[in-house]
Amino acid sequence: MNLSKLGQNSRIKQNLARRLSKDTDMQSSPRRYLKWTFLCVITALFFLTGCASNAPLDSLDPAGRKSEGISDLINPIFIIAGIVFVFIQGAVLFIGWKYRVRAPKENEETFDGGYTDEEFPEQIHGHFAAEIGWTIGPTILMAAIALFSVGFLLNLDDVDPAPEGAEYPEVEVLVVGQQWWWEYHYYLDGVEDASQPDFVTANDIVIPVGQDIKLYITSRDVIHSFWIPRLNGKKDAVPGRISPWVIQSNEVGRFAGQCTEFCGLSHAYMRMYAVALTQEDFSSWVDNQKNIREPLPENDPNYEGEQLFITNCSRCHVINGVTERDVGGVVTADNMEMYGNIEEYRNHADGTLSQGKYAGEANLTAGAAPNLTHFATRSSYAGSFFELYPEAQEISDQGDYINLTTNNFARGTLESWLRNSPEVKPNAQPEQARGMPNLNLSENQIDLLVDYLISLD
Amino acid sequence: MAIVENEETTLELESGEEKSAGKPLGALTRPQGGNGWKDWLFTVDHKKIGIMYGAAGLLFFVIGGVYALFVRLQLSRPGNSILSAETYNQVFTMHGVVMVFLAAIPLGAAFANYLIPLQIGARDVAFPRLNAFSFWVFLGGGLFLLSSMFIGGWWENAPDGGWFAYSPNTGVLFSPSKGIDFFAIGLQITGIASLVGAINLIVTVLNMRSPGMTLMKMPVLTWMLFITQLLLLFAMPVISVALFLLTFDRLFDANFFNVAEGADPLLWQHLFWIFGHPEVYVLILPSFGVISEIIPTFSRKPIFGYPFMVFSGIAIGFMGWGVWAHHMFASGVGPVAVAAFSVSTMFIAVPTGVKILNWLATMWGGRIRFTTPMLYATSVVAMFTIGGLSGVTHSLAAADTQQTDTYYIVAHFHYVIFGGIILGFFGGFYFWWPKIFGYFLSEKIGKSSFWVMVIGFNLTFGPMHILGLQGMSRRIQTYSEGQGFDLWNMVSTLGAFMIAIATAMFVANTIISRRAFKAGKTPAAGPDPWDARSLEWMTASPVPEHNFDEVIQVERQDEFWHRKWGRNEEGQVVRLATAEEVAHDGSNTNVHLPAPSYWPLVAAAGLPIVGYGLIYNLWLCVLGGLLILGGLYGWVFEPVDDPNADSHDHHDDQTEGTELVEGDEVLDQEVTSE
Repeated sequence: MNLSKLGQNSRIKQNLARRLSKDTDMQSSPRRYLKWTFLCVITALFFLTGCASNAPLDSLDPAGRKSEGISDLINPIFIIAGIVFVFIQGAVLFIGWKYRVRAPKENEETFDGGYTDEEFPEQIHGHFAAEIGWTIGPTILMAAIALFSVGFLLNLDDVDPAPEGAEYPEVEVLVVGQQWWWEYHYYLDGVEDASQPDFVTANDIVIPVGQDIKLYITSRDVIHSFWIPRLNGKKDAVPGRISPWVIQSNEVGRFAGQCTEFCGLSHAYMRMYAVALTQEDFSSWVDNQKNIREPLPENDPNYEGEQLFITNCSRCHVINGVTERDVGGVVTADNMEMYGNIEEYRNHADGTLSQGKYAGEANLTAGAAPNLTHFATRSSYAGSFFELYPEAQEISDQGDYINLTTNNFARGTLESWLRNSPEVKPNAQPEQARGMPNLNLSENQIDLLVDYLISLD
Repeated sequence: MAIVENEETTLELESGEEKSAGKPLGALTRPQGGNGWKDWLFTVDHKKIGIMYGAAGLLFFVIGGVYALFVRLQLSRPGNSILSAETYNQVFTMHGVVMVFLAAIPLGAAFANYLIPLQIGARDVAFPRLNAFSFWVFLGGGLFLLSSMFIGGWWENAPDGGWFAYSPNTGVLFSPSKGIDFFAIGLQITGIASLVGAINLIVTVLNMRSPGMTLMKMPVLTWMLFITQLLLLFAMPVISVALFLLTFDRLFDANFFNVAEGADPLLWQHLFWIFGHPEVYVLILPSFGVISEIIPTFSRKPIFGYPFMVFSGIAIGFMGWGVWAHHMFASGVGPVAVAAFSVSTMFIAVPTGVKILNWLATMWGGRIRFTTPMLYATSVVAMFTIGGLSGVTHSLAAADTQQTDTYYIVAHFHYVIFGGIILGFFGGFYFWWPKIFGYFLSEKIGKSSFWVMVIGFNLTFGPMHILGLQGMSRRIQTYSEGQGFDLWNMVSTLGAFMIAIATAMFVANTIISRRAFKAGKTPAAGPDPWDARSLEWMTASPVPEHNFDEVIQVERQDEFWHRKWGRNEEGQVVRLATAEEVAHDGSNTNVHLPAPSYWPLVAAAGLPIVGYGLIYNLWLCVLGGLLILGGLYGWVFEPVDDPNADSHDHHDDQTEGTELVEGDEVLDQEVTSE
């Protein structure tokens, strides 16, 4: 009783003292306020304009079912956090402003810091109810957040049935990360033989719009992370493990991705695209990808280029039907058997360790480079770090993607890639045999190879 | 408890025999204190060791900061080529490793070493020589790590796997340079330092408090540092195991992380983060303690809700063990584990929130003096809150799959580590500087450098929130035009240089203020310049070697404050005595103190040599091993006191045994002279 009265007394005294002492700096403070308000507004504007800038990896601009779900989940949390932020920062500023005592100027350098008096505020040691309140309060808030987030979390890799009329209602893709690019093995349904994929491609993962695509993510060497921010969150590609994941897009378009787990030298250069096509476009894309090439006849203008490819590139790169490969002593021409059985990936998608195809083939990475059978149908190459068709960067809904090859391709970039790849994308050649080496090709050879590669539609 | 000290009693007999036999052997005599650099090299004084921890920590902080500047320069523009990918990976790895292990931990250790004995009214830590040993081991390990920059070429052999060093990227196959070896062995060595220090300080807190100072009367800082040491005690062995596995993989072809032989790379992640997450609290709790001392002092109020402050710290310490897998939400640990860790992560926000509100409640209604330390402490409340809130946003594991490994995370933990820890430590420097060195740091420079630092800090790390949500990935050496990252990266780089300027201003401040003081332009600090509350202010500044002239009988929390201030019949706070009257003046020279020793340094020097030996030539290990062994032998067999102990101001040996056995009575009254 006594105490609280005293507290009031001293507060009144305090206020009086402050009012008296403030008279002197009355003039300066409004101007000061103005300056600060101005600064705050400018900063806020600055931040807002920054947010508006166009960012292809923007996780706040969801375009898929999963990413939208995440967005819906986190946006209220951002708002709650914003409110708490304003409350705490406001409290700090308010308390700091209201209860400050200023040091008399002459005291500042004597370091007395302002207590020339012996006046004390009320000595409060605590308040039990308040403490319990701000322990229980946040606990309840957190419990609420937990409740409605965990449900979503447990269903994060659930797959919805495909929309009506989908030609391939169950598309499964094995996503294999490796230094420093992504490989995709397509297992379309209706495949009688589950032991091998229908086709294998790299860098651009193509999906039908509106359909959940089941991914099995793994790695051939170190840990990578598969992330198309506008479609879903990320999932690590861990060697020896198969992680299930899903992507789906609500709109046709090309969505940028980036490897997000540090994976060594060229981590920054390991990118990818997801391309969502209409069901029809997807079907025709699939039909084309399934085509296996035949060796070119000698009179073909690209014959020489193909021969160059076989001599210089086929140790690592595959062109189905053209290059032969020795896999574990078995020489195969169509090269599909080496890629493994989808059952195996399904069986290990529960997190059990897999001793299958991609468990620690690290020292074989030199034998694993992108399958180039349909190189010219992809929008990018070299871990999607380079655009093959810069003019076609905006892939909208006119079926642009399946007609990519009608665009002008960036010849110069491709040439410099063939000329000396370690110069344009850091890689661990030749010491560690990862990444593409400098093949010391002549300009003429480069020309022929480029012509050949761009003919691989 | 008193085991070691008993040992000393028996040893003392031995040295007595030696004495009776004539002169003790040259190397086995103990060095005498009080002459220049030797005084520092062979010291066992917790204050000197604390200062050295602080100086080394600051030095490493500056070095780590220079790395950061290079990282920021490289990222200032798209497609920059200031650092090659190879160098960049090493530089950002070194930035993380140096800042966490060589700057933040030792700065916390600096506060712990200097302040724990003072705050509990003790003469020194429980095991003074062990304390020296842990500092020299830490320094040796730190220099060993840094030497990787030079050895075998400039930036050829520095670690390049990130501070988290995920396997299998750290295997010889993927990281063939010696960098990861330096990382694994260097951290192993500094880990020994942390472990030894933790044991020492835990024993100190448990056994050496002043009579009457029950655990619940300890200052909050001591409490937080105590919890920190317990966390270190349990966390360090885990990382040691992990580092041993890694070292054996790399040096002796073991297969712990060889996927081709059936290893699971997630083993490393679990081990690393079971250490790594408590480690976060190892870093932050000392800073929480520091500002829990500063805020009451400059609000002229006791800390609000002392028991809640203590128990929320303990709660953080416990819960810190149950959240490690939130670093692995994208790793594929399975939905149930993810859900469990997601929920536990949300709830760790509660005790942290309690602390923040208690600090605000302490300030509420106070009479707040915004001195430089108080500015820093207040900024911790504000800035750490931001880090805490972004932390809550990624406790939602689903959302974290978007955020993890992006700059949003970088922003988050820099708000925690820089905003929560480094700002707090700078506040601590300004607060205890007059206590430690007897003169003030200039408030003028202090305040201006504070503003430069806080603005620079927000410019550096604020934009990273935006960058991260816009999809900028962590640890990337470059980005492209058109990804929309240009503007904020440039802003961030400019901010980083502001932080650098602020740090330089702090360093300049220490020099300028010292000069001004020496020239007599600024006053001496006196024992209690801030009208503070805890026992370290109850002795002269700088603190005399023996800390306190006599044992302090503690009756209340904030004992010192209560000796200065009381209440009159009306309940008003009135002065009972001035600080000068209450504080000890350091005039009691009749105190027996542990004598300096050569051996901690010798033993510690062996460890980095063993490290080099493991990497380059196993014969060096023999040399290092001999040094360690020799150091330990010397340690065990050296006499209890320096040769002149009898003749000058030291206390009679006879009572030492009993005195130290009962920890609480270490500072037994007036010490008998002969």
